[in-house]
Formats: sequence, structure tokens, C-alpha cells
Amino acid sequence: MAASFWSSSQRKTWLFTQTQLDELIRAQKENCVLTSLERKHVMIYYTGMIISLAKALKLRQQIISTACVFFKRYYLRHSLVPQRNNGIEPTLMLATCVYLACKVEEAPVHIKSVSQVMTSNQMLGSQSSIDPSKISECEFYLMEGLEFYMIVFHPYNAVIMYIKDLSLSKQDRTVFLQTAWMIVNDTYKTDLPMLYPPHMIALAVIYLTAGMQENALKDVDFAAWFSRFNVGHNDVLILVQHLLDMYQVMSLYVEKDVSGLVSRLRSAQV
Amino acid sequence: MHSNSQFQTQPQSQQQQQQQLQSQPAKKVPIAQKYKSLGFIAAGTYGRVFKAVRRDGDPTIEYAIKKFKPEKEGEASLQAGISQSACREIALCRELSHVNVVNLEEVYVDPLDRSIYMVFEYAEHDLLQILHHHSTLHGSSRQIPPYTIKSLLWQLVNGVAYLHANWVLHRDLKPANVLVTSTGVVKIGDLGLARIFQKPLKPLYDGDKVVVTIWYRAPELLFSSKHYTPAVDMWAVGCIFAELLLLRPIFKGEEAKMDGKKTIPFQKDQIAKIIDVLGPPTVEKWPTLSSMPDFNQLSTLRMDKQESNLRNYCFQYPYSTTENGYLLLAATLEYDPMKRLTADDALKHAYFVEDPTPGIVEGHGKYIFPNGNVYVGEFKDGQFHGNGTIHFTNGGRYDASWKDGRVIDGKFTFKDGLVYEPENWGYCTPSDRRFYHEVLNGFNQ
Repeated sequence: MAASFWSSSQRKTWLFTQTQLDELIRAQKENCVLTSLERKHVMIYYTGMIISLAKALKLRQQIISTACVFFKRYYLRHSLVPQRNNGIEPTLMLATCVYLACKVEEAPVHIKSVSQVMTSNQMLGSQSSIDPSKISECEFYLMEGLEFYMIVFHPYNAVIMYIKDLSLSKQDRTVFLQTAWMIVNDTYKTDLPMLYPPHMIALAVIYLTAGMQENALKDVDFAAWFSRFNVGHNDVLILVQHLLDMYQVMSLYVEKDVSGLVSRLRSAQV
Repeated sequence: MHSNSQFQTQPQSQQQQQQQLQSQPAKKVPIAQKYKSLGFIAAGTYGRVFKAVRRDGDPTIEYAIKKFKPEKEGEASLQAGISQSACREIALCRELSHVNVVNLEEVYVDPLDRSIYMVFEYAEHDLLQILHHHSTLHGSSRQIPPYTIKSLLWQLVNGVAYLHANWVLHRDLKPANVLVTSTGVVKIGDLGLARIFQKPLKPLYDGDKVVVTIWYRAPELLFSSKHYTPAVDMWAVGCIFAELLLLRPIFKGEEAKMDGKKTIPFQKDQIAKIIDVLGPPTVEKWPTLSSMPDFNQLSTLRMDKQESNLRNYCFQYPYSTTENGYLLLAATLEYDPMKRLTADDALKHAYFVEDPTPGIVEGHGKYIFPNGNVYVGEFKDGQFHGNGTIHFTNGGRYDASWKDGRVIDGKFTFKDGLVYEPENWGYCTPSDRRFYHEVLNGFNQ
């Protein structure tokens, strides 16, 4: 069903345990040339490119998030190392993810605009341009890679709903929502959307935000609040730890070094 | 190079010989190796439909394979991505699962010639065909039997209710898109114009300026409303109901074509046809009418009649429906979309409650709910007793003990084995929780 997460393809097909996810990633070729941390940094690098492309096209956040999920789902079963004679570079794939996400989210953009932004904003560095015909062909490989499951659920609505449930002043609520929103956006740089259902991410993000803005919610008994949604306090804590790890990984990110990793991937062609 | 030749409708251009991108994992078996085409059955603007069987499967199980043709011809086709329509139909059909919505078995794509194949379950008939068949008959067999009309309509509404509960608007309901299997099961088809309407990023009107085939288009769309709701599908349901009774479209207007400029024409004749039957819309009956962009156009129409003539139309064949059938028809052909009957309310309408009731398969302890879920267990005097299980269309199950049709004790099991006792439903998000409550409260009635 398209509007119920519980019967969605996302829950049935695209949620994994950490072990399952690690195994899928270990099976990919980039595993020979990248450490686990380096792969995470490469993913942050490509997510950054998705965001730049989307910003240039003036896209809404939800479309960016869907595109990020497409990209991560695709590279769970495909190598980031481009094969010789294989036209699918991650840069082409990410442009295609943005193009398809716009259609799926009912805000289509012209294929030529995507190609132009990719080419003109020097996102490709020294690489050649991305032709619309490459994107249109790549779209087929992407859809196949997604097993044609294209509807993605996000935590944004849940965040809004849960925050309404907390007793916050109007002013506090605005600040709280902004912070929570930014943390949710950051999760799209990681594999978290493939590890946890959106409402769990929403709760963990709210818990983390509350920790950062102590005063507003210091009287709330979060363990009791979570149990109202029948979510265990511990499960939320584990997820909060994931969020903290995510910021740890991001703090070690140096764009210049990651460009080096990307060239290493490219030269590792087989 | 190409093994899908039997599903091909046009020769490949040389362009397709260009160096191709290659997908990394082992490629799926080509469609022609898995399915054997039994011939071409339909064509439309989207492409063609073939009837097929699996080469390695039961030869009696048939499939309808829809092949989309590329958006543009020749070289230009390689520059264009897949159409919004194909994208919607794939994305939605991949998620939806309901007895009254056509089931998508799988999807094949051929990146080389940009073709897309959707493999659907096969339905022998559609309402257009059934209507045509009856309209060619004479005498007492001309009209569709009243129980058949009720059963077809109930299943149609049941499918529409499922789509709406999942925030999906169909936006192209018409007899040709309502398929019927050889055993009489209705399958709503062609979701190429369907879309999710929950929290749209852009207004619905921005995406598609014109929706719904003219004869089935709701008045708010005809008056160019920028905002519309699931009520547009219910108007179309009303038109289809009337057509089953009349054996011809109830509002058969002449479509005003787009002129050279890109302005969308006002569909004067279509509105005139509606007014002929229902009388003119008024601000008293439909308060937001005056805020419709094309409200001023109403004064250009002739208004001889003030009264609704719908009853005469409804009983053109005197025994085709009942007074309650007429009331249901009138409630779906309501001008004001806010007052128009919703699919959920239509399922509970007196017409479907009075004998003969549709959708209930009794005997041997099996009961099919109005929403397609199936109950297996003790069932007598119209109520559940003892232990029984509801098998949800989404794969979940509800095991419960019943007394006089009410649940004494029960638990809900998801498809993957996760178990929720009723008090644990809090684990679902509030909207899911409400959904399950609604579903089960529906059962308890």
C-alpha cells in the first residue's frame, strides 16, 4: 500500500539489519580499495553532489532525500568502482537518481536541465559532460536496481507529528523543528534510512534534539513518552548512538582527501 | 542482439547500436524467454498490450503485458526519460495490492530501445465491452441483471476505497479502465494518471492540467478548480453506475478541443449535458461554486429546466435498480464535491446492505469483507463465532476468538511474523494505529 509504511516495499524489501547491510557492502569491489570509513566518506561526497545539483535545480528537500535513498539503495548491490567500458559512473548515477526522484515526487524537471547543471557547475571536474541520452539510459538501470520500488517514506511528517505531541512553546517549537529537520537531513548521508523505519529515526532525532536544547523539555519523561508509541527507550538510545557516530564520521570528513579516494576508485577499474 | 522480437512493434533504429551502458549484475532473463506472446489485444497512446503465458508455468494462467512505446520517435526517444505516466503506474502498482485493483506481476525494461514492459494479471473483460455487448441485445436480456450491476459497482467502489485509503487518486475511471475477470472479479486498471495526493509538493493542477476522460469528468474539474479531492473519482463512479443502468454514457458531451493557443477550453457542452439531467448547479446547493475560476461561464448556458431529472434516467429500465440504488446514484452525482458520497460511505450505503447483498461469499466458513480481506472460521446467522482468522490482503492475519460477531481476544500478525497484541498497536505510528483500528472496528460491526 502506498500510504502505509507497514505494508510498503520499503519495510518489506529495503530495510536491513546492520549485519545484512555490512555483508552486502563487503561483497562490493570497492571493499578492496576503501576502508569502511573511507566508503562512508565517499558516500558523503556523492550525497554532497546530489545536494548541489538539487539546489541548482531548486528542488524541495523531500526530493533530495528520495534521490539520496535511490543512490544508496543502488550501490548496496552495485560497486562504486566503475567497470571498464561501463558508462555508469557514480556521478551519472546520482544525476539519474535526482531526475527520477523528481518524477516520483510529482515535480518533474527536464532531463536537459539535469544534464546542463551537471556539466556547467563543474561538478564533474575534468570529466566530460553528461549527455541526456546517458541519463535516460541510466534511468532504466536505476529502476532495475531499485527493483522498480520507487516510493520512499521519510521521517519528516513523523517529526512534525511527534513534536506537536510535546508541550513546547511556539517559539521553542520552531527552533526545535529546525534543528530536528537538519539532523534528519544529515541521516541521508548515511545508511540509516535503510536500517530503521522513518518513525524510529524521527523519535531518535527528537531525543537528540531535546538533549541539545535541555531547557525546553527537561521535565519530559522520555522513556514514558516512547512507551506511548510502544517504542523501547533502549531502541531509541541505540539509534541515537548511530546519529552520534554519524557526526563523528562527518567531523573526520575532509573534502580534498575524499577527492583522492574518488580518483582511487576510478583507477581501480577492472 | 535482441531477443524480445515477438513483443516488438517497430524495427530498431541504428541509434540503438551505439555503445551501451552495462548493468553490473547478471542480467535478468529477457522477457521473451520467460513469456510466450499469444497475440496483441489492445493499443493506445501509451503503447500496446499483449496476452501471454509463462513458458515455464501453468499454460492456463494468462497475463496481459503492457508495452510502453518511447515518448518520442526515433533518435529523440533516446534523449527522453521514461514518461511520467509509466513512472506513476510502475511506482504505484508496485506498492498496491488489493483484490479489486489489477495486480502487477513484474516489470521488464530494455535499456537499449527504451521499452518498458509491465506484466499484469489477465482480465478477460472490461466494463466497456460488457456495456457494448448488452447494448446490442434486444428484449429482456438487454439490460444488465440488477444483481450483476450491484456486484460490479460494489467491487468498483471497494477498489476505489482502497486507493483512497492509500492516498491514491485514480483520475481516469471510465468503463474501459474497469476490468472484469472471467469469474466476475472487478480489477481497476490503468493507473497511468493516478497519483498520491497526500501532502503534494506542488498543487495537483500544476502537474496535470486536464484529468479524467470528458464524459466522466467531475463538475469541479469542468469549472477549472485548482484544488480537487478523491471526490473526482466518485463522480466518475456515479457516471459508470448510471451507464450500467442506461447502457449508454449519461453525460455524453462534445469535447471542446484545445485551440492553437495553449489555453484550456471551457467544456460548455459537457456541462450542458450534466445540467440536462441534474438541473443547474447553484450556489445554494454548492456554496464554493462561485469561487470556481470558470464560474462566470455558467451564465452563458441555457437553463430551461430547474429540476433534476435523474430519477427518470435511473429507472429507464424499471427493474434495473431499487430506490436505494437511485439514492446512491444521486449521492455520487452530487454537484458539491464536499457533499458527494465518499467511497467508504458508499460501501456502507443502504443499497449494498439490502438484499441481495454483494461481496459476501458465505458457506464453508468463508467470508470476504468489503475491503477484500478474507475471514476463515465459524460463520452463521451473519455473525462470527468461535475461533477464526482474518487474512488481510496485505499478507497480515488477525487471529481471534469471537462471540456474536465481536472479538473477545485476538492478536495481529504481520506478514513477516511480527506479532502485535491489540494493546501493542501503539508501536505503529498514530495514523497506522488508526488505520488498523478502523479496519477492525469495521469487522466488529
